[in-house]
Amino acid sequence: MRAIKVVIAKAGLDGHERGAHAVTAMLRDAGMEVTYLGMFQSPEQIVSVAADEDADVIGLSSLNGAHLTFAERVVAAMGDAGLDDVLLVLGGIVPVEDIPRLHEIGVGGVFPAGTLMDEIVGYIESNVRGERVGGPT
Amino acid sequence: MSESGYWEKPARLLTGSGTPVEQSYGPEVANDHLSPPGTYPYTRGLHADGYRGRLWTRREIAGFGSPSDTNARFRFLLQQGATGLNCHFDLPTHLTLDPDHPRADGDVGGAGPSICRLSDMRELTEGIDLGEVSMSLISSTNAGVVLMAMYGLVAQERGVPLERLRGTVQNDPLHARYCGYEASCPIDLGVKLAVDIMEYCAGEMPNWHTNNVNMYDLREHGISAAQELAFGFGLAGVYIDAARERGHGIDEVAGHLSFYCSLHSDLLEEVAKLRAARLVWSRLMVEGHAAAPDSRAAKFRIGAQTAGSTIVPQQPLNNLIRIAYQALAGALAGVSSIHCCGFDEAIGLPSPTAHQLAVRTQQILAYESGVPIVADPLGGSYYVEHLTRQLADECLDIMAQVDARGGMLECVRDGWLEDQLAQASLGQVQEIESGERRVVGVNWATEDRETETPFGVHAFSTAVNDARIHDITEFKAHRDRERTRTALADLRVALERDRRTNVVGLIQRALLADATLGEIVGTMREAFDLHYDPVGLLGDPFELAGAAR
Amino acid sequence: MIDAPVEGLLARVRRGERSALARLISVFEDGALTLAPALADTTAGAVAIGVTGPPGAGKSTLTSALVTHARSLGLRVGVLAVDPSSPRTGGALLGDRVRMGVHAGDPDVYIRGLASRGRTGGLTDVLPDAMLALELWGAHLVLVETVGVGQSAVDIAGIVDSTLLVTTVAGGDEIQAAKAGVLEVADVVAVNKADLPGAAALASSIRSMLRLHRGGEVSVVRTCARDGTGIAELWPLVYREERAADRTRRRHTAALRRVAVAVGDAVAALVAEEKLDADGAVAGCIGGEVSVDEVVGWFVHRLSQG
Repeated sequence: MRAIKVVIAKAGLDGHERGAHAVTAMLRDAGMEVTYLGMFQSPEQIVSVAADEDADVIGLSSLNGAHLTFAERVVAAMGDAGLDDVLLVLGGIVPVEDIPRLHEIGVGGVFPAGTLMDEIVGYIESNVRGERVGGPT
Repeated sequence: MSESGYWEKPARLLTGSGTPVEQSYGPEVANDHLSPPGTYPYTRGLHADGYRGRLWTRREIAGFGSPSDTNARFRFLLQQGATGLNCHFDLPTHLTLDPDHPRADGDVGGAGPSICRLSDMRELTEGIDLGEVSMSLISSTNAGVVLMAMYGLVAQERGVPLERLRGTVQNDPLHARYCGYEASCPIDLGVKLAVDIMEYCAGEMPNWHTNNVNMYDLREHGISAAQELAFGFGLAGVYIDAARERGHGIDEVAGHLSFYCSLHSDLLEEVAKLRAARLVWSRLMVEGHAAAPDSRAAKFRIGAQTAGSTIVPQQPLNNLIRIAYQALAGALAGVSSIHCCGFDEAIGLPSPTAHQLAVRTQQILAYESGVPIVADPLGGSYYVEHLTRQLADECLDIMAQVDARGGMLECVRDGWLEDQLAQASLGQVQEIESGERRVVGVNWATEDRETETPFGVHAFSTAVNDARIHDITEFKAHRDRERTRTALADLRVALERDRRTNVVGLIQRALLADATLGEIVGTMREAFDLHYDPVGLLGDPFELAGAAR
Repeated sequence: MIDAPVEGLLARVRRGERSALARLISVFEDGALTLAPALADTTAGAVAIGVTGPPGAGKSTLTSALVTHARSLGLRVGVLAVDPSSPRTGGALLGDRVRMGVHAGDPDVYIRGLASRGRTGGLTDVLPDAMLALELWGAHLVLVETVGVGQSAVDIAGIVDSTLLVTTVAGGDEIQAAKAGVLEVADVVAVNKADLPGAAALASSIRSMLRLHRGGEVSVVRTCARDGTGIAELWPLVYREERAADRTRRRHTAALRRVAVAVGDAVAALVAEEKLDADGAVAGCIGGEVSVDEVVGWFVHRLSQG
C-alpha cells in the first residue's frame, strides 16, 4: 500500500497561505499524504522534515519574488541530506522567464499562480520516484 | 444542452459573490427614500457635486529595494501624473524584523522598501514636499506606530507643520493577522498601538486619516461583498471602541477613519456594495454612536484597489481589461482614491511600464469616459438600487451574527473569523478548478503558456538585500549604544508602569537616539509579556528586562 | 524472513542513522514487511505513551511540551503523529508539525506522521513496527499521538505503556469522552488550556466521573501546554518505566491483535462476498430465521474443532 508523501512549505517571510493551503487540500484529495510546514521555515528545516518523513516530493510556495535564491538553497540542502531522488516542485508568483533557470537549479515542476490542480497532480504522479527499496545505497 | 457560438448563453446567473438575481428589475424596487448625494445617509455619495469638487486621488502603490530606490519610483510616478503616493514596505519591516535578523535575508527590499531607522524615512521622502503630497503608509502591524513616528519627525525637521500633512496610515492590525502577519500583530499590543496612532494623528493632523480599515485584503480571501462590509465594519468597531475607552469622542475617532475596499469583478455588485457601505456606516455611526448626521464621523470615506486576486499570469495583457472594468466600478461608486494593480501583479512587482499603464487607466477613466461629471450616475437604476438594499441587509445580518458571538474582537480571538476566511478561500479555488466560475485564460479560452512577460519583469535584487544587511549591521555597530539603550529603557519603563501610555513621543526619542524598528518593537513586545522577537529566535540585545525595577 | 538489504537497513538504524530510520518506517508503511515477530525479544526498549483527545484540545502542543521535558532529562524521543486517511480519496494531512517547530534540528528528536491508509483496525499493523524501529534507533521515549476519541484510541492503548487523554473546556468534552469509551482505557487525563474559565470545574467533574467508573486508578491534571504549566506534575504519571520494563507483554499484545484483526478481516470479507455461508446459516440469518449469535457460534465451533 504505497502513497505519495509530500512536504509543503513556504519560502521566506511571505505569509499568504491561501495557495499553499489549497494545494495541500487538493493533493490530499488526490490521495497523497501531505505535511504542511507553514511559514518561516529555513531551507535546512524543510529538508530535515522531508528526510524524516521520507517524503517523495518537496513543494515550495514562493510569493515574495526570491524564488531563485530560495530554490538554490533548498537544492543545496537536499544534496547535503542525500535527498537527490526527491522531486522538488515550486509554485506561486514566478515569471515565466525564470522557469528555465529554476529547472537548471534542480526544480522539477514549476507552477505559476493560476495553474490548475490537475496539472500539478499529474506532474507529481508521473515524475515521482518509483518503489522505495531497502534503503539509499 | 450547451449552446455555443451564436446561441451561447451566460453560464452563471449569480453575482460575483454568488447571489442569485432576477432577469430584470423594475419600479417595484422602492427608490423613494433615496436622499441626494451629499446628504445623510450618503448612499448616493459624500459630496453633492460628486467629483466636480475633486477627482479621486490616483494613488499607485510603489516601493521596493532601498529607501532611495523607492524614492526614485515615487518621483517617477508623480511626474507621470499620480496625485498621491502609496507606500508598501518589505516583509522584514512589516514583521518588525531588522534587515540583519537571520530570517530576513532574502526578503530585504523585496515587497517594498526596507525601512528600519530614521534616516531611511528621510531618504524615502527626499525631494518630496510632504506638505503638498498626499501619502499613504501601508502599515498595519506593530511597525506602523514606528513608521508614523518617523514620518511626523521628518516633516517637522523639514519645517512642515503637522497640520499640513495629508494622507493615511493603514493602522488595521487585526486584519493583518490574516495576511501572514500574525507574528507582528499580537491582538492586545496591536490594538493598543492602533489607538496610540489614532490619538497622535487626530490631535496634530486634521488632514490625516488615522486608519484605513482594510476590507480589501479580507475580500482577497474570496469572501462575499456583504462579508467584506460586515467584517470591515466589525474591525473598525474594535478600534473605535478602544479609542472611546480612552475618553475620545466619536467625532474625533470616527471622523478621521477611512476604509480600504476592494474593486472586484462584478461591476454592478461592486458599485452597489460601496453605496451600501456608505448607507450602513452612516446609520451605524448616527444610530449606534450618536454622531451628528452631517459630521465627518458619519461619512464612509473609501480608498479602493482593484482586486489583485483576479489578476492571472496567463495572457497577462488581459488583466488590463479586468483592471479597467474594476476601476470603472470605483468611479461609478464615487470612491475617494483608486489604486490600479499592475497587469503583471501575478508575476511580480509592477514593471515601470505596468505602473505607467495603471496611471493611464485612471487618467482615461477620469478624462475620457465621462463618468466623473455626474454624481452617482447609476443612482435610480432598478438593479443597482435593489442590490444596494440587499447588500446592506445582508451586511447587517452578518454583523448581528458577529454580535451574537460576543463581538468582533471575540471572533478574532476564538478563530471564527479565520474559519470564515479559510472556507471562502477553499470554496473559490474549487469553483475555478471545477469550471463553475469562468476565468478567461485559466479555465476558459486557454492558450499555451507564454514564454516571456510583456514589457519585462521586475527583478528582486540580491545586491540591495545584501547591501542593506551590511549597512544596518554597520549602523548598529557604530552608534552610541548607551544613548540608544537609555531611550529604549525609557520606553520600556513607561509601558511597564502603564500600558495605556501613548508611546509615539517615546518612540520618536528612541529613533533620534538611533534605535531601530526591530529594537523599538521588541522592547514594547517584552513590556507586553511577549517574546522579544516575533519569530522567536533573538533576544533583547540591550537586555532591558527588569529595567522598571 | 529478513533479507539482506533490510538487514543492512536495520544495522544502520541500530547505529543511530536517521535516514535509515525514516526509510525503515516507510518500508513498514508500504506493507512490505513486518519485523515485530522476528525482533520480539530485542532488548532495545522505550517507554511508550499514547496521547489522544478531540481536535482543538491542544494535543500537539502538549506532546511538544512533553518532548521538551523529556529532552531536559536527556532522553532521546520519537514521536509518531497518527492521522486518518480519507476513506474516499485515500489521502491524508499529516501531523500538526507547525506546533512542533521548537524541536527542529534536535538530533535526539524524531517526528513522523503516519496515515491510517484505510487499513482495517487502524494502525495496529504499522504502529508496533514503527515503535520498534524507534527503539532500535535508541529512543528512550516514544509518543504516539492520535486524533479523536474513538476506536483507534482504544486500540492504541493496548500497545503503549500508558494512555493520556487530553481534553479542554469547549462544549461538553467530558461527555464525548465518556461516550467514546476512551475513558475506559486512559491512565491520565489532562485538562489542557487550564487558563480558560471553567477548567477547574471540568477537571473536578471528570475526577468524579472517573472515581465512579474506575475507582482511583486515573489521575486528572490541569495543564497549560503553551507555557508548560502542569507538565512537571504530569510527567511521572505518564512516564511509566515499570510498565515498559515488561515490553514483551506489550509486543505480545500487539502481535496478538494483529493476528486477530487479520483473521477477522479475512473471514469478514468472505462472508460479505457471500463466499462463506456457514452451512446456510448466513442466508438464514439474513432471512430472519437464524440469529447473528448463532451464526457466530457456528464459526467458533467449526474453527475450534480445527
